Amino acid sequence: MIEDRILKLRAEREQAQLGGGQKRIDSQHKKGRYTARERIDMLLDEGSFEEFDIFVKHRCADFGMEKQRFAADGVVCGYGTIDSRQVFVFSQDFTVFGGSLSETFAKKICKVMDAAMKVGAPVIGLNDSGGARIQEGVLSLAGYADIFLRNVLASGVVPQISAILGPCAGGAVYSPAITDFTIMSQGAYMFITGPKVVKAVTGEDVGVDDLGGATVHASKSGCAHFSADTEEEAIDLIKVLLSYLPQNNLGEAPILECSDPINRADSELNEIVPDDPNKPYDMRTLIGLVMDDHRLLEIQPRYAQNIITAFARLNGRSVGIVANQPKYLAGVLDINASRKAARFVRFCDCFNIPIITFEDVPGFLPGTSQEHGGIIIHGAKLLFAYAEATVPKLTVITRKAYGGAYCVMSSKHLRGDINYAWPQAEIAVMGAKGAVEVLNHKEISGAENPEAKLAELTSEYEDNFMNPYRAAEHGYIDDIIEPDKTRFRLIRALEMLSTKRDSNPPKKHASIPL
Amino acid sequence: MDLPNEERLTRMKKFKFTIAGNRYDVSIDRMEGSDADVTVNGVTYTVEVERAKAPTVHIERPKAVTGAGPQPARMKPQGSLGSVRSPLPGVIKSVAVREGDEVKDGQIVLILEAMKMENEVYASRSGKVAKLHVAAEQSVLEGDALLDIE
Repeated sequence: MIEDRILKLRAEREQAQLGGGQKRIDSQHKKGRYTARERIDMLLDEGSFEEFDIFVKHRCADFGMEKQRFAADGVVCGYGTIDSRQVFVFSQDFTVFGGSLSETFAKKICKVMDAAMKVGAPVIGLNDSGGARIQEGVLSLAGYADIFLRNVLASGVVPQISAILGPCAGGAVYSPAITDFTIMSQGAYMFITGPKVVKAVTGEDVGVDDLGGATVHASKSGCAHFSADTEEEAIDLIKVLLSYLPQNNLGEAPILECSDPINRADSELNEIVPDDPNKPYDMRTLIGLVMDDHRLLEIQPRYAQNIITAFARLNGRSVGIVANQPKYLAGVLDINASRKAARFVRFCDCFNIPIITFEDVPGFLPGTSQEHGGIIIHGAKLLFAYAEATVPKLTVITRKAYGGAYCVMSSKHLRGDINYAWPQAEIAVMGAKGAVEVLNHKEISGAENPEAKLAELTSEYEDNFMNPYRAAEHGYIDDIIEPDKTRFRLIRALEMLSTKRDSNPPKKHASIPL
Repeated sequence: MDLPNEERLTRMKKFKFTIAGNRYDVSIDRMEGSDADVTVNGVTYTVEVERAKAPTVHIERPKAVTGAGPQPARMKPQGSLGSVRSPLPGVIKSVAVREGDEVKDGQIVLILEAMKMENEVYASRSGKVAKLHVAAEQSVLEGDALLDIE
């Protein structure tokens, strides 16, 4: 008899694998999209997937729903491994009621997240859902809120990654918004209200892609950390990203074997910063020259490009990088750059990833649009994040470090552990001309040739103050280093700090200026 | 301590006053709304009580902002969709193209001196420079159209 039962179980399971049925699977493929199960297969190590709740069905009896019940109810949940490391995953199945979220659908996701929290493993959500299952009414809303709560409680405990591979609209967007990283594939979209509502309320004519497509969120809104051309690329990005992260807030990121010599000194580093301090250069190249195998994974590469946030490795250890980009908007700190970097710094601090700052910043961006937009509050976020962080913090000033921006960018005063400067560093309260105009106002206006006097005094000020020695005299800079020795010096410092212990005063939580 | 209402009232409302050398024993026997029975040295009066007004809370408010005064800088909607706009407020240092020139997406079209930096400004798309809005030495604001590409 048991044979019959086993055969029945197998038949049931096979049926369940089809989700909303072959016809809908074909239609998903026709749109160039993979099914929920195919995505899991691409993501996880082969044969590692263990599924939960394949036999769960919805409980709705309104609107004729009792006649349409599909096993798994629109979301495939379980656990498996990526590069042999444990992860939990849920994958929304567009072939079942358009991936719409029901009470039971949400319960399944909650179960996965609860399990991930118990064992301390990352959660990956593959989103492809039309939104709430309207037939279920408030039960669907309750389901969303139950998920949001778990996203919040898991934040800073286990890494959470969202991939948006189809629609993600309305309240559903808040789950990816809370998770640590959001990856969007081309064709996917994410918005609070869709084009129809936008048209009705504001009169704007806008398509889904221009309203909330991958490119828009990766470059304009900053809601996505990555945009991928294809689903395959999106899923690969998840794997690469995870390789830099620990399993949870009590663990360390994996330390890889490093074949790149730790004392590799690329002479290019000595040349990369132009002699003329007004000439830009590409900070990305500079970072690459320092890091293991010249490799880095840039986070939000197309958003607020005046600041670079990235993961990389030094002697096999995972590090988070924050760097001003002189090539873009002169590397100023503005509202978006401050917010982008602040969130990244806090993420690194949550998950014990040391932060390396490369600094070449002319200051905060002046102007009414910035001031009225609240640059004071937003700039304070970055300062707050750096000051609060207790992970190892290393800083290299490659050129400019001016004014308030000097204080903010992981300075010694905000508990920077090791602060280095390159010989061409300019650490000063403001530019030479501006400083001299204030300091020597009378002398200049009283001179026979005021312009010549201004030039003379400016050059004098530059010689005396536009260098790293003043800061080094006070110990604000631990050492002035030769550029091509940067890699070696950083690795030494990082090894020294590998046992660092630091903490903040006990409190419920800080009140960061949000 | 849970006393009946009246008892609590009489207990709480007994006063002794000395006014101009005369002693007054006062008790408040009953109080309903603003009417009260008050016994002064054994004689009962029905009186109307004036209550102190509740203190008014003064909320400081900034003066309403009127139309006058500086307004936030706005993107000037001049130029077509193919305009290259100034990324920063600054001064044009040099212009690398002329009207009628063919440019490629990403090509340097001018240098903008801003924030202690000679910033390279790139063509936003390939095409022909239809109009140059700026010349060297000219000051521009963030968002100003620099040139149009057709």
